[in-house]
Amino acid sequence: MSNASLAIYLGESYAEIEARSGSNSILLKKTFFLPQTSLKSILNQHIKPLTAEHTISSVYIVTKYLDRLKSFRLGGSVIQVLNEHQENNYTFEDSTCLSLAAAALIIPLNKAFTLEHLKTELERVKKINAEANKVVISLSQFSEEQLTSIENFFIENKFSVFKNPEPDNLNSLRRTLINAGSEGTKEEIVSEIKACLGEPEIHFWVKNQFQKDFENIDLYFSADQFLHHSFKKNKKDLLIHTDLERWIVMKDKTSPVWKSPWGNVNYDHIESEAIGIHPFSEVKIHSSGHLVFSKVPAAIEPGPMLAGRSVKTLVVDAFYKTISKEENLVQLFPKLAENTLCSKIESQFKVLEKGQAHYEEPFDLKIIQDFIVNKLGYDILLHKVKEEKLEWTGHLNILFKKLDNAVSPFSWTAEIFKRI
Amino acid sequence: MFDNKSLQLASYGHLDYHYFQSFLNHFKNASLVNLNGELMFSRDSELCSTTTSRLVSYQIVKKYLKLNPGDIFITNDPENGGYSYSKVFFISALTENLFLIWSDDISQIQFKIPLSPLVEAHKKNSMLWSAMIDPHPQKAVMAQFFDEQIEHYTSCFRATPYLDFLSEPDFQQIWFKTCKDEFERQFDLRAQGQADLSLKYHDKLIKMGLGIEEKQNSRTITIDFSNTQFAEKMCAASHVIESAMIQEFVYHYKLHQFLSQPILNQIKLMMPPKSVVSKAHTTGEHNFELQGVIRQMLKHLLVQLSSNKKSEKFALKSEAQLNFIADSNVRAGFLLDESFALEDLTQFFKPTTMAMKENSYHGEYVVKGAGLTLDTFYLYSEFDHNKRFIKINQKSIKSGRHQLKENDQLSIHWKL
Repeated sequence: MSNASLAIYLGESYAEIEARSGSNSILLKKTFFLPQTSLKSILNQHIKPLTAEHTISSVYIVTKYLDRLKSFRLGGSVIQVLNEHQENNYTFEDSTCLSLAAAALIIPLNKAFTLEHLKTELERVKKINAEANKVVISLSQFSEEQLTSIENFFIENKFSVFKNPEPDNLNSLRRTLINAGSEGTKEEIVSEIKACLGEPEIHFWVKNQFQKDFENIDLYFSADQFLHHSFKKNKKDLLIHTDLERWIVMKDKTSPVWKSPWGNVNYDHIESEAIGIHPFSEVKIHSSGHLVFSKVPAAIEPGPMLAGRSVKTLVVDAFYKTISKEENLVQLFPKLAENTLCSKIESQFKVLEKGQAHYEEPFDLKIIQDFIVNKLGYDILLHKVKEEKLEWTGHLNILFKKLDNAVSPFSWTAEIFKRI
Repeated sequence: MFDNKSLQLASYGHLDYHYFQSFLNHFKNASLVNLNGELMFSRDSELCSTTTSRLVSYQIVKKYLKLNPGDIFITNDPENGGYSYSKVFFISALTENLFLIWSDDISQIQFKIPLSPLVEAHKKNSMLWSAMIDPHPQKAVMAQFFDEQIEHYTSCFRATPYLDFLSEPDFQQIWFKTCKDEFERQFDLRAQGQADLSLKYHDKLIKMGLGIEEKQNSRTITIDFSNTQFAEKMCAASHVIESAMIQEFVYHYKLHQFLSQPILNQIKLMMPPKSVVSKAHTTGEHNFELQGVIRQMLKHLLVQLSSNKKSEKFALKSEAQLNFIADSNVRAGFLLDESFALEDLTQFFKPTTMAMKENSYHGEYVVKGAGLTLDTFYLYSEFDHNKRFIKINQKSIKSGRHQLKENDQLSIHWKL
């Protein structure tokens, strides 16, 4: 038995894994479109067989998986204990904001509460989600004694307790809820790795290094911190990152307040800005007959037509030919190897071309591709830096070879191994 | 290496709006105009609309001054194309045939800035800087604000060759045709006809007549304010009123991305001189509320034309904008009919109640320390008397500036 290490990039919609032996030779390298599989099955199917000959002693993870909180909310496992009539507190600062946690898992309390009442409320929420095991307590105008009794009650019931240090401050409440929610997601990742590989040393990328100690350390911006460290190390001024999930520019600039989908959160983070058209924007015909890209990107499930299940045409589908020729990307979308899927995508773009009423020269697939590439190029231009100061990462950088013929295939896991 | 030369400088028809949007991404409210003063693109992301005001500011600069690429002029004079003292207009040239005009807010400015050069040939005007920014008690905030604006301008200025492309008359003509075609398409999909509405607001009669018609292949929208009363204390400049109406039309016709000169040319306004809706106010104090009144009236008329609710009575709805200012810190709030946004106030107040029940927000706040100012822009409607109110120490407040002391109590009750 020889020692081996495993690198994992766990994104919102895709994962990349790579195992290397002690001598640094590649034992396995694969990418997966996550809605069609899970980390658990990837590990069991592809990594477990390696353990017959190798001991996976270390696992290194960079993640953007916690972004799933955006679409699924924290709902799953976090209970909130709030002052009565503050159940809708996510609307106080902006009535159009999304709720960060499930409304059904809120326990409203007034100062005359009893432990008996608390017990009944806990039974109620446990019926909604029996697996709930984290509680955020955010109560203002309660005595210290009352707060301690509430906290003890949840500890006795085997809950992890997260207290909002400033109960009147909704910004602080959002931060506490994100901590609690991401803790659950992190536990899920760790338990799946341990279930498959026993007790390897698990390291998450935190700020500028891999860390073994990640309890109560928030990993929300792990992937951004990793990218930032990478381009700073290479002494670049600007990073262009184009992968399946987002097309962004990143500068060496941090911001203390994160404008999250749930409202502002005091969260020091590296700023990034979306550029080009979102890769998951839907390409469709507007009611007045012209071609448009949807403002809101499509959900990652079922994803693009490339993945074989969607009927919606997304921006990334326009590049199916280039993608089908790239080994890494074909692994993400194995159904692309089937001619039927390529024909289906091609005919979908023909339908879009014919649907453009009023236009003598409707936009065909070639023009759509040109526009998407040029738009990204123009947006880079607006962040003008000296050419040699620009780094370009992300699997889909190869789609933009016309703009930068020096782009080379990008691999998260190869980058991870460089930093171990 | 990333190579500018590989970019294809070609028009993509209606998709060109993506380029404009990216170009103006850092601005909340901005216009691109050509040498003839024709609006090419407008970005308006705030309730206090300055669409036409920006064009008026540009025309004033063009008439009296020479504007060269690398120059930025500023003004905030509500009697000369401005909106309020805290809203600064920036008028700049990008090329000989492309001009960028934008507005942005800074609560720390509460004095009039006549038309002045902020930047000349890419150099900050040191005289203006030393007269306006250096002596200001919030010098750092002021400097940061103006430096950021200059940076936004510079990032646009550097975007060659794209800038040259946008300046080409051929490209501009293609874009104008695209916008006109889109306007005609959307116009034909919606109802035509005539409707009118009268409203007494603060004892002043506002009369609005709306006509939407197609005659001899010409599609025209007419708004007639004839018989609206003369202004006394309460009034707003015609460009302020027009800005609000244009945004309502753009919303109605779904033309956000295509608002440009060919569309403006189809909108005809008739306003009696010196009326409530056509006389500039010295400080622009009533601009927020009169924009709100006109927007609501126009929306009502458009709905009447398009639906069967012709007999539905018009009911004015309260709206408010709140700006809390303490030294360099500013928090804002918008209380509207269907939405509510109030930034975190815990820095200034101790909240004693914050509750949302049956779509009704109730907040009670106690002021923590001295030196807090509340600027209120308030469209008050008696229809909402019991549903929406803002009080300081149990007394209802009106539009204007309010100084708050320690332990003063602010109450906000707002039904959505």
